[in-house]
Formats: sequence, C-alpha cells, structure tokens
Amino acid sequence: MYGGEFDGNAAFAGGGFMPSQATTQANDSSSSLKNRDVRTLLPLTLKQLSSASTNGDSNFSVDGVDINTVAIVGRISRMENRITQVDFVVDDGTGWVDCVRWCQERQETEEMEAVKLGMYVRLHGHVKSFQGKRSVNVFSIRPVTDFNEIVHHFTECMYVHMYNTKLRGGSVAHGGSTTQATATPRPQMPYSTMPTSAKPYQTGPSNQFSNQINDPMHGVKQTVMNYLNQPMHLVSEAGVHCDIIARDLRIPPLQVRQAIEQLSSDGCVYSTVDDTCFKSTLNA
Amino acid sequence: MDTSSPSAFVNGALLRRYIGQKVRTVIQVIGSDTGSVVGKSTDDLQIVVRGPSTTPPLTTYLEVIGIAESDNSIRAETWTNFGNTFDPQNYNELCKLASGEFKHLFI
Repeated sequence: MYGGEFDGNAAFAGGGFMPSQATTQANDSSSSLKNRDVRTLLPLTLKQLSSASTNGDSNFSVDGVDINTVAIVGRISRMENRITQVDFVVDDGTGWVDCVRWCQERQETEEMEAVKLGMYVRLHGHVKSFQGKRSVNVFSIRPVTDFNEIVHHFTECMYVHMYNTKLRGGSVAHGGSTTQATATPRPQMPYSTMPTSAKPYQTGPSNQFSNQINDPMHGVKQTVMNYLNQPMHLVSEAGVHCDIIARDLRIPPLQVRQAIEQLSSDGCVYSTVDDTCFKSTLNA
Repeated sequence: MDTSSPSAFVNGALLRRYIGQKVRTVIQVIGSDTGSVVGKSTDDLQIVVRGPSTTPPLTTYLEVIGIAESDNSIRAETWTNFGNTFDPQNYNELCKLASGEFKHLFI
C-alpha cells in the first residue's frame, strides 16, 4: 500500500525501521534522484500538503519524500456535481483543498454517489498544481464509518513525518529533491549502526529479522556487533574470545554468550578456532 | 487550497489556550437542552456546547467544531455524531501531540 509491494504481514513488522533487503535503490546515481519505480502513498494533513516544497509545477515533496499519491481524511464542505466530474472541497481541520473526481465509468459515479456534503471521507489522489494553486485529483474516495479512522489518520501522519525526518538521519531535502542516499549501498546488517540507504516510509517485503522492539537482547547484540565490527577485529583471523568481549564491554559473560548465540543463528557472527572465539561475518 | 483558518484539536485542558479561536473536540454527551449540549471531554472535564436550537438525535460521542468561548464552552458551527464506539483516550493523546510536538503539521 505504501510502496510498490503490499505485504499485509509487513505492516509495522520488525520494528518497521530497517530498510528491506530487496531495496530498489541498488544504483548509487548522483545524477537524477527521482526513482520512478518508487511510488509513495503518504498520509498527509492539508497543512503539510500546502507547505510541501515544489520543484517545478508537478513535483512535490514533503520531508524529503517525493509525493506520488496522498491520503487525506476530512469533511466535504462544498460539492458540485457536473455529470462527468464532481468538484468538491475537503476540510480536515488543518486546511481545505479543492478536489476533483472524474466520473467516466459507472463504478466511479457510484462511488461518488455514496459521498454526500458534510460527510467525513477518506480519499486518495494525486496532487496537481495550476498557476500556483494546488488541488487534488481524486481517484478513490469512500465515506468514513468508524470515526476512530480520523484519529488514526492523523496519528499516522505524525508517525510518517517522524519516520521521514528523524529516522532517515534528518536528511531533509532542499528544493524538493529526494534524499535517497547516494552513498555506496552496504550489505544490510541488522544490528549495525552504520548508515544504510534508507527508503522513505513504505511497507516493503517482510522483515526477516527479529522484532527489535520486543527483543530484550537487542541492545546487547548491537553492542557486541559494533565491537566485533571494529577494523582490528575484522582483520584478525582468530576472532575474539567471548570472555574478552565481556570484559571489554563490561557486560556479564552470560549475557554475551546469549547474545552471541542469537547472533550466530542469525548469521552475523561465526565461531573461529573453537566455540569460544567469534568473528563478525561482515567483510573486512 | 487554504490553511488560514484551521481548527485546533483540543481536549478540556487545552480549550483555554484557544479562546476566541476555532477549535474542534469530541465530547461524550451527558445531557442536552434546547440549544445546548453538556458533555465530558476526553480528559474528563465538563464542556458546554451552544449550538442551533434544534438538536438532532445524538450518539454517545459528538464532535464539535466551533469557536471557543471560554475555558469550558464552545459555540458550535458544526457538529457530527461520532457514534458509540469511539476511543476517547486515543483522541486525547492526539490532542496533546497536535498541540505540542507536532503542532507544525496542524496549525
């Protein structure tokens, strides 16, 4: 729904923040950053939409993410049916926007007939700009029946905003360009704190790695991985004895053992000389 | 497209910050009279809503959009029945966030 592929299991899976293995940003082009294969669906408030930066008449971006499709939830405050199209105004409390829904197929007309003035609706559409005025070309609209949906939509807007600004390293776009990282893509290490090319908020293919939020060992595992990923340990053939890891990191040896067992079954470390010495699987 | 007259998400405690301005809130209806409805805000404070003289049938939860007259009353321009299965706690948290950390997304 948010990305090109929708996986129902993957919605918020695995803490939700790790970029998927099958990232489409495999090419590190420093030229055009607009990846036309990435279609985004962004839930937005109308305030966010009106403050979206623009790069030319039809390229909008919010928080550094290109806008393709938007999701808006609001009330219909004006409506005019012109047979082949319906012009209406949606007000979500943060602002209002002109919308148009073209009705050429019977299914489209029927969809619009279910929508009445004063109703709360959820709509999806493309943002258009004409002579500086922004409007939405709606292709999907339905009445809201459970009003918790309104609360959910705004909560989601805040979440996506936070995700796109903070978790992508705060790399906010200038002048509407996208912020796909142009650094060389690195292998996706689940416990690594190295920068990875982060995608904008999308539900991608399911995250195979353990859920970070529910994993009590996550912090310890991450610390151990960062330790083992240091250059001097990566080049050492023999690896590091786990008691030494425990001593250096000042973590109880039992916890280190447990973390290493889990990391080993995840494929992040392997035992070298015997089953007390370990090395990271990351290429030196 | 226009964002010049937004309505702030408020609960009982936040209402006083927006006196004279357009606000929106959801109340749990306690009682109604001709031209006014008394309700409990999502943070358990009492709010009085003055509206049109004919009050249509009301569900448990009512959304009111209007001008805040005082720290516990609103002069309603629009109200919408929000049904009986609305979650006031979620709404309460939304109000706090929308007036706080994420205010720039709303007002």
